[in-house]
Amino acid sequence: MSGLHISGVLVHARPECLNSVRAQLESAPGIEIHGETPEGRLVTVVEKSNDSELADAFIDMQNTAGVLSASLVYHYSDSDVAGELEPLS
Amino acid sequence: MKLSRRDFVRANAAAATATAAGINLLHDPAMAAEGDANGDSIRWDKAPCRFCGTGCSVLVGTQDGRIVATQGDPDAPVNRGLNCIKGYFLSKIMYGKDRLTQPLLRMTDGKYDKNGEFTPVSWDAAFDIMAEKWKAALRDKGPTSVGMFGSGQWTVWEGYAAAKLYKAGFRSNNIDPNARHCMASAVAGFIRTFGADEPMGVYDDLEHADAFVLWGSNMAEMHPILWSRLTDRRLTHESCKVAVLSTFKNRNFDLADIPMVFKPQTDLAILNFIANHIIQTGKVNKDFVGKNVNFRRGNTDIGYGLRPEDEREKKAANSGKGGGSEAMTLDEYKKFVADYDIDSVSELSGVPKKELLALAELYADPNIKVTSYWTMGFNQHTRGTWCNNLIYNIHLLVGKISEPGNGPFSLTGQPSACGTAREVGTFAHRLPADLVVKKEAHRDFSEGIWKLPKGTIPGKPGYHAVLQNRMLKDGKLNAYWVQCNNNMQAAPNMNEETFPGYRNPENFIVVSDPYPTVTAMAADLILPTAMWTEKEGAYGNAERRTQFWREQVKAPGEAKSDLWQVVEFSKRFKVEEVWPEELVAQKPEYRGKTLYDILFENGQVNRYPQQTVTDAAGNTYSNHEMEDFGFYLQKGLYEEYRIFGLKGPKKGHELAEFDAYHASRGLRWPVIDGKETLWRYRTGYDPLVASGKEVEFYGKPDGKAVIFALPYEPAAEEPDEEYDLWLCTGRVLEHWHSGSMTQRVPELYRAVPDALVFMHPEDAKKRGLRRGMVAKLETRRGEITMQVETRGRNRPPEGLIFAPWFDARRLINKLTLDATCPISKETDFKKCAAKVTRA
Repeated sequence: MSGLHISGVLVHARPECLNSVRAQLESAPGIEIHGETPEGRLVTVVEKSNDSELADAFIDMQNTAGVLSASLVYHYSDSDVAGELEPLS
Repeated sequence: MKLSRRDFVRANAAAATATAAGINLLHDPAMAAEGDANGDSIRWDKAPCRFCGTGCSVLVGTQDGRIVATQGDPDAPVNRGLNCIKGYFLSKIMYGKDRLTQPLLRMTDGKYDKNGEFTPVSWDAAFDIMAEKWKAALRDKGPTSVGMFGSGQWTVWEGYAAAKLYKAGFRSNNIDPNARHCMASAVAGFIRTFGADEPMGVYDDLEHADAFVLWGSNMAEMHPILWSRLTDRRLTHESCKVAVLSTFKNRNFDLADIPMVFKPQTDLAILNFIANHIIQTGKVNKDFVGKNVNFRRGNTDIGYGLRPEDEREKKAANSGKGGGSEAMTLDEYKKFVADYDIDSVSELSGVPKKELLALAELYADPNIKVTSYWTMGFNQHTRGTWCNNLIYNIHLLVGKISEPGNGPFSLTGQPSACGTAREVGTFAHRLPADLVVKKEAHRDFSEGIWKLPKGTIPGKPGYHAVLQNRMLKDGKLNAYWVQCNNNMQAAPNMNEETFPGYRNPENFIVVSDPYPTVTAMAADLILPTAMWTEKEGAYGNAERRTQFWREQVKAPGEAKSDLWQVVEFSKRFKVEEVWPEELVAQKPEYRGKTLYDILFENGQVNRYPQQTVTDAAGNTYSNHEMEDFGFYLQKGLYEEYRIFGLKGPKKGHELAEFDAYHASRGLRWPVIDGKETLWRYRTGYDPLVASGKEVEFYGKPDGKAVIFALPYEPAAEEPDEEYDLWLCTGRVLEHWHSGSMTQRVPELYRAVPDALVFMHPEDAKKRGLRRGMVAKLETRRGEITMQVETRGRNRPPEGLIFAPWFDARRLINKLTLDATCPISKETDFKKCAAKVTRA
């Protein structure tokens, strides 16, 4: 399947587990961390080649030791459009 | 500069997530400009999620008549931009491969045959056979032979129209929602203690409480967004504590400061222990109790809601009199709970004394603001109404109620269990806005609003959910319509009650659904249904928030909304075919009219002419019901329903006008002078409290709530030598209820394809089983096979197994017992006796 399959996932880790959760997420393919807070919130973007892998990644994140919750914020899925956008100016 | 579409989408995902986390990421202005340019092709509009009772708002992105993207709604106070995994795949529930697109009737040689094959027919032919069967039942046996099973997933106007068609049109109270399986004990508890349904608090308590207690609620999996708010509070508010009570360890225990696994049914004793502890340590809020509380002793030994010939009912002293009670004093109440001391309750429940004390102190300590949450652990209980009463006892004793952070809060499982099932009167005993069929004044008022002759609405409550299945089996309920639920799979004791009832040759069963569910396949006629954003709708969530949405896309094929089906079907009945002559004679102007004319073209429901539906940005939307009936049906129904709250005999259910909800992210009733109410019953928060009073529980005539003395009593069926394990059923995160929608989303199906039986490794070992092996589960009612899981998210203690019910190929309700709370009539799906062997 081609196209784009991208999600924004907010992960809430136990603050004392933040380092290990960050390390585990960073080592997983297709997950990028875009920010974090001392209370244990991690802003992640997940990209996979299809929605099934995306869903698997999400379940894995939820089941990572030290993760209290993982919430999906943004989901984009399109299988046939992969073109480029021309900016306005 | 050229920016790839991929970079753009990734940046959007990061920005939306960061906003939800409360973080500002470095923002590229070029990207924002591009966002505007890109936004042209996708139309975004808000809609409440179609799944649980949390009521998250979702932004729905539509392109070329199809939903292509969803996003947590950043402007929604409930979910603040977050979504759980089910919300994430919302757009896909409508596009399952086996979506039903035309009516299907069981036929042989071109004619209806109960044992025939499902054959496509026109809507006209479908309604022809339905009307024939309904008329025959009404003629031969009268109004009690027709019935309907509805849903907490009905939109507000769908439930209202169906209740009106049955109670006012067919003159049958045999309509009940699947919320009976889910919320009935909460309803009965609220009415018994406060005289008014639904919580006094709101989700804002999540940001105000110092302690949370979860009573039989797997919030982490079932209400993930509320759980994320709770997690936030626990980790950011110093000294915040979380107590979790369950009969097995689940995901909530990860965050628990006071984790407690108790033996099934002993929650009743723990609740009374806490009340006793509050009294013994002198922590009763005497001023609050003196002004605001009455004490009553409830009837005991009330049976288990089984068939009257069951031995357990014959033995029970107060079978059939469960709701009875008598006045008592505070001193008598103190003596009553004195039996529940820490030693005996620790022994009975299996919870160590240290944890019991820590739990009791959360409630007793006047400096701790405590919010209690519960779902099915309390409600699906043969003493479910008692559990609800007993938790209110505790909050009332210390006056920790009706203020920010302090309060008991019943969470709901369905998106409109509150807004529709409870509030518009779809229960067998209810009318809109907390009115009941038993009270003549309430019937008179309803008949007045509906312009009906006096005596139209019958005064006797109809068949509730479990009784409907028994009456189908017994051949007393013969023409039956199921909408918006999967009750063959959901109801208890499928082998002995539900299935024989549906397939009884005397009965004609109609099921409206988007998919060929287990229930639909057991029907005689299947009607294809438009779902969620394929119609204009309204839901009411657990915190009294009513939310509206517009029709976003067209339903596939000939699928029609439940609302269209109910209203269109009413055209098939001339009033003389349904009502007795003495009733028609009171309203001679109704002669020759149809139920449609009387109920829906009554000058109120058809008051708002056809119009174009637009949003604030100027986008336009379809409304297929408006096109078909020629007036704004949803608005007319809603505005007629609203009169019950504004002018009815019970205050406290005031709603805002129709257009206000399309313009907002929902409003929490009572809405007074355009303003929503957050905490009910306390002055300063609730404008309905009489001036001069600090607290007024105005659902009761004297403004006082009731503390009930109610004991621990054993479950209907407990493990014995042969059936030696407790069987508890429930849900999992990835699937919603019976799975008829979520099982069709490939990603969710892949994540959790099959139901597993969760058991303790020692219990498995004793039976020659290991993780991954197939086991036979057996009760006195049936058997199924399931794969064994001894690890994972649910970890039962020895002596208990847990099995989810979403899996249509492993129907756990073949095993469950149809024992109910005798007061609420809600089934106990959490407790029966089972045995497990190698398959």
